[in-house]
Amino acid sequence: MKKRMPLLGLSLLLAATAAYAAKVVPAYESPSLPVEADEIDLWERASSHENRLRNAGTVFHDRHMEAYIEALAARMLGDSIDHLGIEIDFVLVREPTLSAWAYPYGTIGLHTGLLVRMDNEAQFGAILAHEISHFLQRHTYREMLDGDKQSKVGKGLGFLASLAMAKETGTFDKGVMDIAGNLWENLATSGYSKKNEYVADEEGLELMMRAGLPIDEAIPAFEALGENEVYGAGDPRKMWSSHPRLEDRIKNLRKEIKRAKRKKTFVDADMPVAQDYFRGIAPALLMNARLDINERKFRRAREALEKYLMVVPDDPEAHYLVGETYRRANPLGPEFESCQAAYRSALEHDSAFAPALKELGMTYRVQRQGAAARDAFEQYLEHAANAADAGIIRAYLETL
Amino acid sequence: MNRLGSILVLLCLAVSGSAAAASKDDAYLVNKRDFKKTYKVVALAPVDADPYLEMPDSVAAMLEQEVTARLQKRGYTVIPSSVLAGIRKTMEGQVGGLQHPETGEVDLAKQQAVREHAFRELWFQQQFDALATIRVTVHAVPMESDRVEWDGTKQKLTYEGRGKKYSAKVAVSSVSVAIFDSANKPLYLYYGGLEPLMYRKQEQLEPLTADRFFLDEKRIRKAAQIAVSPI
Repeated sequence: MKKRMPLLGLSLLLAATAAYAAKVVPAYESPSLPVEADEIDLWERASSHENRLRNAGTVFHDRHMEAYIEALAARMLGDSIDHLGIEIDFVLVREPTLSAWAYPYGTIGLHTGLLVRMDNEAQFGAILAHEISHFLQRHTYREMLDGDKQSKVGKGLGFLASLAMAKETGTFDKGVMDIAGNLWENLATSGYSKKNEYVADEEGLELMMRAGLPIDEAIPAFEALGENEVYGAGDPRKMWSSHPRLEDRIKNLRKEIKRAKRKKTFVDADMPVAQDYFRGIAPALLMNARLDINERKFRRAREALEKYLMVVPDDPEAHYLVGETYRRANPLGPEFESCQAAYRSALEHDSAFAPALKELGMTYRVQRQGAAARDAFEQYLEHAANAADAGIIRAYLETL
Repeated sequence: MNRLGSILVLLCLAVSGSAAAASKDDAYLVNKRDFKKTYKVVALAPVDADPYLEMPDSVAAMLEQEVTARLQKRGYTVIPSSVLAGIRKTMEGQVGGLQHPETGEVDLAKQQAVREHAFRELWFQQQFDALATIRVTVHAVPMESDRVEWDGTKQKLTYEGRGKKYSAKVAVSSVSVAIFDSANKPLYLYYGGLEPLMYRKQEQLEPLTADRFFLDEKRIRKAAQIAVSPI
């Protein structure tokens, strides 16, 4: 996904260069390449971090989905795309937590968990616009110049990004994070300053309007961030919901939405069709459901699968995974109807779908329904004779 | 990867992965009273250790002995790990062995299949309420003036040669005991500190070789006792 999205041009760059000298940092209304040594250094270090993330093996590639996100970002950036300068890129990470972040040169990091928790394009657009705004406003660089006096105000997107990267790269990367007086580390643990977060909120709404998205949907989008769950050792909830700052942010967003609506030029956008969004991110819905099942987040997984099945109703794997959400929650029963119904749905779409045949057999076996278990196992072996567990299933058959 | 490299990787992982329970109250991941009321029969899985540690079977036996003794003392019925080990062995035969016949390499798909089916078969065959796993893990802890304190234990690093006392992060091992219900939901997790995996060589921290692990039976037993002390 290397579609380059240029921003603005030379005259603004010259203005920006002049402003650098006085350390008054203009927004990337605008950018081009950085000219100050410290910003170049910032970009290089961040780039090294991104490269390591990309090489960690957890980046999710899907051309269809990438094209969808790029098209949405292009709608937000509007005409500025025609002016050459810098590009916006995306890195999608297979990770069930809700997180997004902006590298200082315009690459936006997104967890699949965030994509699937949003209920429509406008909600996702709200988060995306917020991150693009951090980039356009050069907030990382501004924070670096401001030192750490403001960046400790609250916690935010940065921490989750770093937590995720720590998981993916195996270490909390202080070598990259520790830029110019612990800047990135501060961002990582404390988020951007309150002022910069509010600026990103405000500009994010502008970008949403430019993309024709209803700005009211920013509220449920940010509220969803407060529902981040605990996965593994980290506790993302501490970053969002238990901190008053998220509440402040939502309060501020409500204020900004009201203000935007009072403008004469305001045009209320229609609610986007949810299914269009689900179609755009379908591969993430299915993949993230698998992650959630492995993390025992069965309700979350089922919600994602329901969204997926709205737009891809014939996929046997999705039906099978719905069955897994029920079975794994109660593998010994006593209720097997829900999982068995889902396995049967999978088989209605593909009668040779081996995982569903096996699990149907396994659940019948637990229920001591020998004939039904035998039937399912025999079909499983017919379609997966060379499966790693074929010998074990044959042994089960001998006892039925 | 050489041993030092392994230690460094383990240290790095530990920065984000170390998860020792801070107090005995934290050991229960569900209500403690409900736990004691609901779970009466506990099956044990074979003791497992980070491969880096090259744990001898005799150490695994010691650890299981200590955990079993504590559980029984607290009124739990214990199904020994030999039951699950027996199921695994049978299943390994059913899949034609885990090793590839020509290369001798472990077939990971078969290994995973045996592991998963064996757990499910244990639940199918035996009447029990919870499954306990005992594992020796590696993580990093801060060292202050050559002394380390972690997971309920305190120790001083051994050293060769002279050198000033200093502070750093060192790799250590701990015994973890985790208990799960039939849906693999974690119910209990607690750690007991076992031993440092590094020593001081003048001004440097050096990894110990595997033949210097698990030499102190008292420490091994104590680590297991700490790990089950909240029970």
